[in-house]
Amino acid sequence: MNSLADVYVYDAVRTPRGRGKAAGKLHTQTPLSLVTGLLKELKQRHPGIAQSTDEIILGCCEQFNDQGGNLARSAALNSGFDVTIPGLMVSRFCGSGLDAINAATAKIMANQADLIIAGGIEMLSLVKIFGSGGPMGSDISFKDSVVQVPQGVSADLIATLQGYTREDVDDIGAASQQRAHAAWQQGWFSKSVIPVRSETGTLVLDKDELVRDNVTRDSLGKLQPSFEKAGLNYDPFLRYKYPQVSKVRHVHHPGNSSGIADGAAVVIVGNRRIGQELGLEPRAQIIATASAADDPCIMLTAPAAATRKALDRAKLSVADINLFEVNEAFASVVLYFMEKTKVPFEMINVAGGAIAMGHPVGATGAILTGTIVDEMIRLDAEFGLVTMCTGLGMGVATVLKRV
Amino acid sequence: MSNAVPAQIAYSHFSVAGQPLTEQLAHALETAIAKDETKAIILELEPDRADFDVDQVLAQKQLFERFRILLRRSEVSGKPIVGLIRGPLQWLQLEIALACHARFAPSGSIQLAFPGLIYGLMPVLGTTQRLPRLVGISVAARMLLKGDRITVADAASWISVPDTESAVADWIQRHPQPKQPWDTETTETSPTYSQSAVNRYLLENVYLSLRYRFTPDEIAPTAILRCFQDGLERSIDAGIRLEAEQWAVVKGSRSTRNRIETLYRTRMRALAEGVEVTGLDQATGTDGLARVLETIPVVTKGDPFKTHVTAAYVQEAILMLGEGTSPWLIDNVALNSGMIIGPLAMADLSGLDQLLEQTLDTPELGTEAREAIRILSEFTNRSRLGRKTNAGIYEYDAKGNQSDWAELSQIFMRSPNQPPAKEIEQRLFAIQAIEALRCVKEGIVKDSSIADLASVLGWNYPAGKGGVLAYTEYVDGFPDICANLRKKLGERFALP
Repeated sequence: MNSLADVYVYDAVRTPRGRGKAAGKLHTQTPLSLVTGLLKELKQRHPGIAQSTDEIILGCCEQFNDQGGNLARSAALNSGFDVTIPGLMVSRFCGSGLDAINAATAKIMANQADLIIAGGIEMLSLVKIFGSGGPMGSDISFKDSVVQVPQGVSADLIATLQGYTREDVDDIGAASQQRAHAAWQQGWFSKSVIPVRSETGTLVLDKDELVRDNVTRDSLGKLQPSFEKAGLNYDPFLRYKYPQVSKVRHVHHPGNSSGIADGAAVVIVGNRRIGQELGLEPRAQIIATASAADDPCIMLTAPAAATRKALDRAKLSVADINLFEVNEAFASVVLYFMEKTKVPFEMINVAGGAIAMGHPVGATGAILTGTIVDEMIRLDAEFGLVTMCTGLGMGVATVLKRV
Repeated sequence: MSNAVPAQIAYSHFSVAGQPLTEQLAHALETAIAKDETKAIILELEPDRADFDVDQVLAQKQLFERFRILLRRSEVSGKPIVGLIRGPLQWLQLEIALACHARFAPSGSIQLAFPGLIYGLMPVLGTTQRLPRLVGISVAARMLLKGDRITVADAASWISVPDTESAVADWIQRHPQPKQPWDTETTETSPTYSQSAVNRYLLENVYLSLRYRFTPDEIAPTAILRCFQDGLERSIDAGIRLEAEQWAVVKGSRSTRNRIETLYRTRMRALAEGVEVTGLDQATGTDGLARVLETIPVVTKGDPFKTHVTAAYVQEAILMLGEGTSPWLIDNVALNSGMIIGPLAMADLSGLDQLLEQTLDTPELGTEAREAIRILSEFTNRSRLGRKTNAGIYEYDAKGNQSDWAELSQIFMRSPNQPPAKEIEQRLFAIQAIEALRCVKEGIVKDSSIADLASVLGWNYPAGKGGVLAYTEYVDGFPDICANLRKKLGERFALP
């Protein structure tokens, strides 16, 4: 019986994140072309991987239409990787990209693979969240049991139950924009963001399209809440699960919620031997992963539980971690994570997050993994942790160690 | 009509309402379909009674499966099946009309409805599949899930007026081998395909509106929506099979059995015997019954049974308020259990001054009554009398929208450990049952079935639970629940 293998991150690249609307810069690209661009970049950087990759694993939330049909294998074939390289798709809603990396980690750790390219893809300008359907939309008994409400209403419910004010959530939103803007200004993403070009080579997008300058709590204070209208339908329905709630306070708006985005990201994950063989430089080690779940109605609270599970596996405590990437699905998700783990905001999302740069759901976990590796190196941090909330009340986490 | 077309089946005896399915009709239809010389089949659908006979319809259940198959076979037989709508149709006649290739009516004012939901019933011959495919999901949902009536004029695209012999003969002439719309299009391309983005959104809204009106323990509305959801992404035949499976679930459900027992059998008996029950005189016919079941109740002095039980219900909630329980939690638990209004919202609607006066009038004031007086006085002393002053337990705006009264949690210190919803529900329902048992014992109400009916008609007690006394059997372990509550909260939970 072989002992567990060490798992390293050798490289991580992503597309810039485009606005996930018809007017977004990436809208006329395809999911396949976005992933292909990244795989070709990795192949160019590390030529040996085109033959030596055991598998490509991609996370994608909505696997239908252009995102259906096993995009991982399709992208491998489309990128000129060896025809023998298979592809696997995974989905855990918004956590899919991180789960792709965690699945790759598990395979490599268990000596069932040496080298995997793991990542994620989502073009929300092309597919709608929950566009692939599912029992949470169509099975009456299941709907009764979970009391499913739109995510934004869940985010507002968290703020209501935990007493987060509009100012609290706007502070997170403003900080995300300020940090992302500073990170771009200082070139922190220059190694990982690969510009998207058209078939003719014309530049389509080279920077996250949603990042704004000069965002403050005061400027966000002028925005109208986004989920009041949905609340007209869903707030009364919440009484089935949260009868103690008198009135949901709708505090989230586009300035403190993740931006709807298009994007893709991939990470090379492998064991020590293959790295040495191919001359790859390890950038970080993945030491533990976990998934957890909480009430699907409030939906967005499980990152804290996933974090605890992952840290237990790594035999670490919250205090050991120097940097956190907590996906900014909504500002209240970050506040709830901080409240439950006592982690200060200064250690979370230091280069900004999905509120500023957007959340191409299935891709975001891989983007955050690339970001934390870059930030751990830049800040010489020993340990980093990525965590995300997902649909149906789940959470995912990954613990990394500097090498 | 008889000379208009050859080989017709005239089918005109519906004087016993709701009993259109007979062995004779089934045999005649089967024979007519099988005969080469049959050119068309005419079904004359006679009006139903205003209040259809639920028991007689249910007695036909052994014929449901035969007619499901037969109607479907008729639709694909290649022979025109024409329905002549002779008057207002509901349930089985309407189901048969939908399975016809064409329908004719003498006037646009004739009404069509499926009021079975009041009794916890659903279509049995394929209407959950044919109706939405014919009229769209929205109209079908209004008819089957809200009991809305439509007129023949509203149904101009699928019912022709007038029903002259020449019009019918002409239609048959022009449609020698008619097909139903659901037999000519694929499921995925149908406008009612339940997995299209538009229909997912529509069905989600139907679901949400259903949950405002029916709690999940009411099985029939859930079953109907399930038939829409699951059936409309499958073929008509699969959809009809699904409907038959859901019918089996519905007819065996407690909510349906309870609704039939209380709202049909006991109500018919009360009407026949002239028993005095609040709301009974208005609750004649399914329309009247529906109206009574939509009425928001208040605590009144008029009817001693209603007064006793609703006062106990409201008082229990007032006591919880005094214990520091959130008013929203109390009222929402009541709503989640099927009450049309929470007890504290009901208190505000009734008038807190009136409740105080009523409590003060109680001959022997027990500990709980004295505590309720203390709590109610906290409001009345501040001139917070309820909805009429826009200030009571809750605050009200000009439109009647309810919101928190900020000072409430200071006057009655909000307990950091709020009681579990289950305990609140048990207190609110057990206290009603115990008070009702007392009323039966003291002869205030005639018997337990009448008490059940009076509770449903009087203060809109959830009909699926059967009524205030049927609850003692509806809930598991009622004596134990009361024993536990008695131990924890006092003698008011002792069974009389």
